[in-house]
Amino acid sequence: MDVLLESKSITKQFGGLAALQDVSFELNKGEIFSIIGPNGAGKTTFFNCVTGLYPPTSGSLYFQGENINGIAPYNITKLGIARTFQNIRLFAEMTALENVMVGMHCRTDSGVLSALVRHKGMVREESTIADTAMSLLKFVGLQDKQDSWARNLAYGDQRRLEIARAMATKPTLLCLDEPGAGMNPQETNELMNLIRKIKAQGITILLIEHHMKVVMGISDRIVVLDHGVKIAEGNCKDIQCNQKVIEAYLGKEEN
Amino acid sequence: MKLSFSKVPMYALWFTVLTFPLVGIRMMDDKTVQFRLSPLIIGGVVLFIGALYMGLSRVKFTFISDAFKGIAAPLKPVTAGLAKPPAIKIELFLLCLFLLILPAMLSGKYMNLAIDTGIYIVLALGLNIVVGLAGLLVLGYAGFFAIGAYAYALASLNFGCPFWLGLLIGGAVSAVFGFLVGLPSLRLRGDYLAIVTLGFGELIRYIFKNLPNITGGEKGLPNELIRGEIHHPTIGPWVLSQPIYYYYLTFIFVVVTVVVLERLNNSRIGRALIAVREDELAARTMGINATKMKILAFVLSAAWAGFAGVLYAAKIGYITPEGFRFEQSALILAMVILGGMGSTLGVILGAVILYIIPWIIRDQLPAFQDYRLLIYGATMVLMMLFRPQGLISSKRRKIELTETEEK
Repeated sequence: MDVLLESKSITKQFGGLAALQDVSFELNKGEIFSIIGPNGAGKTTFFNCVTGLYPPTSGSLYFQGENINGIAPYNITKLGIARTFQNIRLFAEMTALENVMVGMHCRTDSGVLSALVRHKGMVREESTIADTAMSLLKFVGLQDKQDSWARNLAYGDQRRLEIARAMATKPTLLCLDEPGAGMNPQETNELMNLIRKIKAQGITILLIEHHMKVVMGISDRIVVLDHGVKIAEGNCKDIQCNQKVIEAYLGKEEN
Repeated sequence: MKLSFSKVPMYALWFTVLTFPLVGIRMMDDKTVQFRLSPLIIGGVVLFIGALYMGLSRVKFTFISDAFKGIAAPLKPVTAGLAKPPAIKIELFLLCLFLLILPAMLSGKYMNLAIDTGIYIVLALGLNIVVGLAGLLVLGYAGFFAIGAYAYALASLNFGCPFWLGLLIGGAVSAVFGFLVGLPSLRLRGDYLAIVTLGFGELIRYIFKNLPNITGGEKGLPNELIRGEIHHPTIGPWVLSQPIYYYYLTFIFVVVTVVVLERLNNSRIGRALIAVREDELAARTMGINATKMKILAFVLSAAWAGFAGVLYAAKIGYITPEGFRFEQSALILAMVILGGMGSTLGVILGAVILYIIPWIIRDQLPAFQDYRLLIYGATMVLMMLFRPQGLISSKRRKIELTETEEK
């Protein structure tokens, strides 16, 4: 299988605290790969390193064979990595449709002059943007909400809108940071279906999730972090039986 | 914000007490002090009634925004998904018609007032790009205005540069300065950016003031050393030196500015700017180069001030550094905020009100001259209390203010 993302001993330190220590793994094209671990394990920090928000202290990240250390976040998005946020970060005062349209920014190129002149190419591009954004809203099931302000959407809808917005950047790798947080069982099921649908489009998914039902239900492989250290890697079954993982989550059995 | 009625008399009393030294005491020419209570009481009562009215009726000026809603209709997004198809409303047509035949009814000083108001509308709209759209607080906008005016004045006096070329030069020079100031200062946020731009505005004025050989120093341009005339615009053999030409020129200028702003607002770049304003980090991870966008807004905004400066210099024919003080920056910003940040129509209304009302007081009611700034300040306070989103709020700003209150 082709390796899409390779993490080579990534370390990220905040002052004296090592949020990530020597984390290495490979992510194959087309799989759903989950990162799990207790709170503060460094999962989101890893996402921030991948998407260029923090440069790793040491180690390298390779995306499609290219070293992406130190590349600005917007250029990383252009390379094909998109993400959602654990604490929803939509553009609150834009409509749902506009949010998704913003996601297409890096795949389109009308500048100020074309905006002012409104030549044919720009008008065509705008309507392509709107159409694509609309079909993405449909894809995540928000077709009725196109004109709603993002901040007025229900919580679950906001999560799905974030996914649609990330998909608008036409990613090869989609990083989902706790997409199921705060969802009820029915919404969780819908989310699992949505993630499977995204995978079916050939998009590789890197998932951080606390809902074990989601993780175990859809992941092809899982890596477990604890205090910034990788403690296990494998398929769902391996992880469930792994002694270290059980200890990290439940504590050590005293005998 | 909801006004609790028990506080209304308190506001009135508070206002009266606070303004007593300004309104109630008057130094006469013969150095005697006169205490005058009547304006103070009138002020307090007016404020009381006004506050009570606005609080009670909950009208809160919506009749104004309703009346003007129609005018905002054209120049909508090109995509059908976002809004109803553009329809040029009758109100807009009538307004334009009225403005086109207005010069026939205006004489000397009123014509001048109309032109100056137009220039300030252009300035306020230009500032709106950076304040309303990109959400960056700029306090030294008069600096860019000055750069445009001086660039054209110098080019015209030294090299005989014609107006239309000067317009490009003024805009370009101002844009370059916008870029140079923006590059380092856009790393800063909010208040810090405001302070840097405030410093810039003052710096520019002092530079012009202290280069007597080049800019004429305090004497301004043209002066006895740098003689000549700042050229009026020309079309072929016609020299457009009469106020009426300036009136139509300014009118076209305002229309072009409005079109530019609306088109920018409803474009890929406009969306990116709003996204950066809303959440810079999320915008960056969505593939938007936030720094580039902010600099773009800054440069565009500066260029617009430059254009307005050229127009102003040509119209007035004589410029001094004192024409570009911090008061001007503050006034333009006040126009944007009072009118409604991000709302083109609101900003125009804000500019009209804030330029014309002080003028009327100066010209028609000299007795109130002393209270001009006081009225101005009180208006601002009242606006922020009762209608923080401005006279005509942009649809986005409205969401922000109403929603956060409910939470």
